[in-house]
Amino acid sequence: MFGGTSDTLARAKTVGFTIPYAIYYAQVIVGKDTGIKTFEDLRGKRVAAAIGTVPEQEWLKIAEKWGEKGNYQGYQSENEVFLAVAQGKVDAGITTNTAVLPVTQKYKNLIAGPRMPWGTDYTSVVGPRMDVTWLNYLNLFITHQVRSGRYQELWGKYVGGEAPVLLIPGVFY
Amino acid sequence: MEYNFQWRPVFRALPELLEASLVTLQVAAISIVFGIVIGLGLSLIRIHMTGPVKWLATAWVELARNTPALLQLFFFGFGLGAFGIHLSPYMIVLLALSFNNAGYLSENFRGGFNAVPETQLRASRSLGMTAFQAYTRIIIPQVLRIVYYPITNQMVWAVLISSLGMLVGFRELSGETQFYASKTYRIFEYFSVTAVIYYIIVKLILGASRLLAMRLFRY
Repeated sequence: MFGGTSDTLARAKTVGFTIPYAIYYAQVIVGKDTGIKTFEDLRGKRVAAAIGTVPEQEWLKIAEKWGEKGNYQGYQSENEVFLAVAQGKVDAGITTNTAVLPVTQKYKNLIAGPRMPWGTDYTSVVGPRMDVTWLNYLNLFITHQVRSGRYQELWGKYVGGEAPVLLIPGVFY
Repeated sequence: MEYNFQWRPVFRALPELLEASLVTLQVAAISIVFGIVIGLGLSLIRIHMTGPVKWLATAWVELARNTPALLQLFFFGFGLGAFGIHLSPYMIVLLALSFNNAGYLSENFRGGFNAVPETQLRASRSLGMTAFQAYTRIIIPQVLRIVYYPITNQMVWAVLISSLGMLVGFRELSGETQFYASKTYRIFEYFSVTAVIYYIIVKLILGASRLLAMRLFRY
């Protein structure tokens, strides 16, 4: 499954992860009139994210620290998050930097907001956990995509710009 | 099959799931109260009135009964949102459920009113009761007895369709389950336990209503 799935340890007890195939950071899209420019501006604002995602879990930790109550809304998928921001149901929607461009192009009243302070989101292909040979094949598939230039080609087409280097600093994956 | 069941994460989250099921129960119960009051009004309007008010009531019942509950939910959520009216997820689910309940219950009440012989009304009027007295003391108590079990069914229905609330950001039992399921990907385990919780809630409602009926409907 290619689904931009963050490789958390809790999930890895259930499914098998390959090496990361896409590296994101979390960013919010905000309504034009909300005046949200920096991360600190999100205090007291209504924020939405997709239910159960890593950005949601990270945001809820911060919201708890800030003592935010009832300002968070979790939606089934990011599509509903974008719709909620566009309609003004919430002031900011958490997504990935890769989604910001297409979404702000689609909804004229949305603009790119600040980057979120938590770490990089490494997302992997998900496969059956017990089938290690198949996971090895998928790892090889990813390296072949990069080596052949297909990865950069697709990244340029759908996200724009330079594709990220699929390396985790300081770690031998 | 290579799937290994792991129930421990589910049991660890059980307190949160049970707390969320109280939210489910609460929103369903309040919506059924609204549904009964509005449904009764709608059925009386449709029986006794003519003109635009009747058309409105008929339109309500037709829409509530003949469109998917999910669409009604989206109407109160993203539908009203398109016109700049923003309700909290709780209010969206409460209004959508009340709208739906009122539509269904109104038809139950209509059947109930038809089942009470017209002679009951004439007899109470001939005893000197006003129309209001006749309805509140003679007719409606009999109607409530007839529609009691359909109301119970509607309550069960309200509990079950409140699960759609997670699609508009409402954290009731299903929303909470979805949250934990995608955190751990033990999706099958979480939703199985949630199904059991729903089953227990429904059985409790049916059992309580049966007990209540034994007390209420003694001759």
